[in-house]
Amino acid sequence: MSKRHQHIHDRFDALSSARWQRIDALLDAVLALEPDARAAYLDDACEEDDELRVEMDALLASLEAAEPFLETPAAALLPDAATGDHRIGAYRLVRELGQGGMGTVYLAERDDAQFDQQVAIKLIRPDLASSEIVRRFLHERQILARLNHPNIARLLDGGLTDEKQPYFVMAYVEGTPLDAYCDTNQLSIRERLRVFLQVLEAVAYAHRNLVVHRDLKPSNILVTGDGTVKLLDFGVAKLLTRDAGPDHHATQTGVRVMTPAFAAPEQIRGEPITTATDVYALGVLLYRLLTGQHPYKIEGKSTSEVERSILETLPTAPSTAVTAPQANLRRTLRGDLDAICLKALRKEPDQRYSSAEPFIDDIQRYLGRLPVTARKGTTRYRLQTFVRRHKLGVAATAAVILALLGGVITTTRQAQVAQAERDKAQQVTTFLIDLFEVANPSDTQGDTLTVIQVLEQGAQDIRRSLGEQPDLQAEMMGVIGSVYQKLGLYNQSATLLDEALAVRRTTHGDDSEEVLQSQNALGFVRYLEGDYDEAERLLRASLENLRTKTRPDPLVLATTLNNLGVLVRDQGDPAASLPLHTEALTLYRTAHGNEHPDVADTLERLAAAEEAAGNYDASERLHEEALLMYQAMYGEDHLTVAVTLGNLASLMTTQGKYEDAERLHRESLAIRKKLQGDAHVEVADALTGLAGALYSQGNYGDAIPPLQEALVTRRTLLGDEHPLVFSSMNNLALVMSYHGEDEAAEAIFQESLAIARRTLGDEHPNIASTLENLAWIYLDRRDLAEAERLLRESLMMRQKLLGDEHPLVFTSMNNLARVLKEAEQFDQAEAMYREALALGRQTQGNDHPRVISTMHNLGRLLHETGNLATADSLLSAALAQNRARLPADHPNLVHSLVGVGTVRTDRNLPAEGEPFLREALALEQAARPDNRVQIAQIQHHLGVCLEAQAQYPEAESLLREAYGVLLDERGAEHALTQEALNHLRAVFEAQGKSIEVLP
Amino acid sequence: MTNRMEPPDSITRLLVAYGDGDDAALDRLLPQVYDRLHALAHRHMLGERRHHTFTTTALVHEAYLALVNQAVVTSKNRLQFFALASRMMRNILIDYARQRHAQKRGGDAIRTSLDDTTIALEERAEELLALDEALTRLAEFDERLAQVVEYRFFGGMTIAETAEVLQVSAMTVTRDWQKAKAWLYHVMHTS
Repeated sequence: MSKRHQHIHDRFDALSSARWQRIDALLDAVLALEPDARAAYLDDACEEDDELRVEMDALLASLEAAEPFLETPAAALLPDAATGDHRIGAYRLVRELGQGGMGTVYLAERDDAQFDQQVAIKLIRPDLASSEIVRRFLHERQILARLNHPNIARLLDGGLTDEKQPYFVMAYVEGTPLDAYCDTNQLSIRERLRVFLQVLEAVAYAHRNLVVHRDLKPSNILVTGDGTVKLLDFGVAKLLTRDAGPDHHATQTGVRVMTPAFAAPEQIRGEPITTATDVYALGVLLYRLLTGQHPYKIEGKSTSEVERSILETLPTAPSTAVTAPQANLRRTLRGDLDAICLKALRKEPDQRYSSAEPFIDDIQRYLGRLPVTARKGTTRYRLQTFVRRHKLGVAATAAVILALLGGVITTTRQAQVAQAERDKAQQVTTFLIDLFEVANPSDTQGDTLTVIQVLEQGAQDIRRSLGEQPDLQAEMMGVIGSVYQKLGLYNQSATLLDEALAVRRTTHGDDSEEVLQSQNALGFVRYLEGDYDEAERLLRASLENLRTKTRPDPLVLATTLNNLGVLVRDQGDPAASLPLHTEALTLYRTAHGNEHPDVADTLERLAAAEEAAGNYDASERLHEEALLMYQAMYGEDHLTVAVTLGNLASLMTTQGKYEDAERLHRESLAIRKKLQGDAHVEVADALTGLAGALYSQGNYGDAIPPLQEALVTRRTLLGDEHPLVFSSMNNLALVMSYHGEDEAAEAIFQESLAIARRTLGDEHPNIASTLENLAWIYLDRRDLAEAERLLRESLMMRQKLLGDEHPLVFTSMNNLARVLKEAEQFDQAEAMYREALALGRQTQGNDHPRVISTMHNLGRLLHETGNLATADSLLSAALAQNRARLPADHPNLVHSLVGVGTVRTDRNLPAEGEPFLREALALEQAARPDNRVQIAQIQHHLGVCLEAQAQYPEAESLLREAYGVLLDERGAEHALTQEALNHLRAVFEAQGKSIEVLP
Repeated sequence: MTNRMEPPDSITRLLVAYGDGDDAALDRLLPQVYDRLHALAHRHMLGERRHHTFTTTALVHEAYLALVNQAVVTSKNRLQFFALASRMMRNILIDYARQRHAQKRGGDAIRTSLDDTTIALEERAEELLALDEALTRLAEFDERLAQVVEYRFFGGMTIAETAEVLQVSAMTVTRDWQKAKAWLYHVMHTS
């Protein structure tokens, strides 16, 4: 023991427990006192005990000295867990760029030599990275990755580290924070406004794509060396914020990612976030750029004080915030810029600019010396009062609706040609944003309206209140109709689009472009709805109308043609869809040139049509052409390329080219894994596709690992309760049971059943299917009782849930009857077959192959149980139906022929059975010469038939041959072999021969 | 088969069971946590420190994130894990310190292959051993004080977390922490 250890040891020994309690109590007392008062107190308390006083003094001295002692946790003594390079995904980390509220940002580079690309990687703090956030991140990553704007630092990639920590990969921007840039370069007010416009443009673009930034601040806005503004971290804050949405538990504590100094009141209150939230932060930013100050004088204030100011204090106008010596600046700011800033900074979101777009307009008006709207107070007064009157919507709902509206608004905007159009588009957008964002949640009596309620109310209001503005009314009906369509509510969608069409007919006339567009939209919804006739009528009417025009808009025409093509294809006439897509292709090529997404998309449609028409080669060529085009436009590693490869793989599967399908699936999968990472639902889909191709090749063993991987991914991302997880488990279990892994398969089936029961309740069609699959495993094991029990449960569930007429009920009955027969419960089996047959005849018709098969099976059962006459009539009827449906030499006739032949032999009508058996033998020998056992069985039946007619020599030769094969293939003990031997004996005896001569 | 498909979250399940009052779960939990922590610490020991900008996450937190399925556990489970892991960390680190100490006194040329952070551990090995011993003795007089040190220093737990595990107020933990540090400092630094 070292000296120090000895010392510690001694001191402990000197302390008794009682003494420590005394010291402890004194320490508590002393610590509660101000430092000055401590000595006096100890003088008093230790009067009698000098040693205690010495001890106490030493401890108090140590107290101060020990301030930093042990404050660094022990783990810091350990070096980092660096195992060679620090890598995240395909990137190697170079150095840390900084730490933020959400995590640490690193500079990194891709290390495959072909991309010499520097990126910024944001590694999200582990405590923010709950599994729910991970799931949401994976879902929204694609939306964010689509934000493609020169002023937005692109989100390039993202995923999960091995430790399941989410990370984002963004373009690395080398630049100066916006405010520092303006100050360093001593920009004038107008120059500052121009830079600020770049920020607004980027935010407006994101708003149009329904992405709200939520954390705009100078450090997120960099200006590069050439003066380009780059916004960082778009949408990232949202991913990390847990809203109290419908699928979240109310008790969950929200994590709010925001920067107090730039937070809007609704963010501080934890209320719903909208585009107006970004407008607020932009207002703070503009205020700072114009005055060099924060609107609430936050310097030196605590977070809670800052928050209180934001909630309660009104900001001073920028012109009064600047100090007296800056008289020029004051004059510049006074009036318009004051109004613009204060409008953006309004406490009520609905009083601000509704999004970045109108903010831009006002700044541009200012720069163009036009009157700004901010000063006019309420130019949109009518709309706003209209909306406020109805107190519609809640922002949470609005967020969903806005997400759905995204495309619509964008399209409307792209259609801006003339000023009038532009104004209308603006009106629509404004109206919508107001409609869904303006309302104060407290106005809805605390109840969150559902999306559908909001839409219904919106539709009602549009009908009632916009009658005097038919253009706007029709436009709005179209917009709401599109939202319904995206929600899959085709009925409601069609109703509105129909009304819009009527309004436009009245105002614009039947031949107007407006009417054609409405007609087109309505036609497509009718198609989605499954009303093919009406869809066709509308789309054809549009098409005819366009044909009569001398110069129809080629893009409208191409869209109409493509819509009609898809419809016609699904109507079952793919050949007719070919010229439509071909014409659309020509139009797009003329308008856009040979390489364009529209062209490639149309090629894919054409390929689908060719596939439906059975022209697999043509379809393949078209898919390949589209593929090459996508690859040229987007590069090899692009999602669309992966999708097209997947389509091509499906085509190969259809053609039975399973090896090609496998290869294509693998290529598609490789791209997806690269782009989407391992943990992505679509990667799991692709894995399932690959497994399908392997399974179809009979390669069950190889199909298992991808299915397992897909299952794990789906489980992780979607949770146990998702139908895809259920389907994954069932796929896996089925393939495993084919692969002979019955026990493992059963375990998975049982587990999936347990999960399904927990999440779907005791009764669900999926559960019925699983029960049935499980029954096959028990049947294989000859546990007939369990198989029967499972099938009965499955049948009852299907009857109850799907109704008697559902084809699956018929299937269930047949399966159950089969198992009952195998269990030798003949009466029950017969009753079940009869019930199935009656149901099948009623729901599927007499000539349905499965009904014929039921008839045959019932006939065979009755044959075995001795009800020969009825058996004969059923088997004969089954044969007749099959003859009517199949070519004369089809091997599937063999079963029916043997059925009729044997029952007639047993009815003592061997002469009437003989021709059927002869036909069966000939067919079987021609079609499947290698199927020796089957041939032997038919020979046996024919031999018995001839024996009954005393045609011994031929009977003997047939039975001899059959016996030989059966002995060989099945062994001497097999029932069939024994039976053949018995008949052979009888034939021998009948001919007076001795049995000993048998082979 | 079924096991193969599920994420290896048995630690999570044991932790939840323990939190639900199944004391037997603890017996199975401890060796597993120890093994995993040990492996993790060992990885740290062997690691080369290339990027100084990487701040080390407290090992126990790291282990927690790696071993426990956070979707399943409650905050109570989390703290229980931290508390357990703090104890384990103490054992592991002291074992290492003991080895380092022995190596150093053996005087071999090991030093040349060690980088500076490993040296930090080595240099503090003796201090750690002293602390361990002092802590053991402190526990004899005042177990809670010793626990506070274990959770705070070895487990990297915050005052609030420590208070929750010990079911006392944060104020009490702050006071205990001060007293414990003063006392340990006193016995370790005065001779």
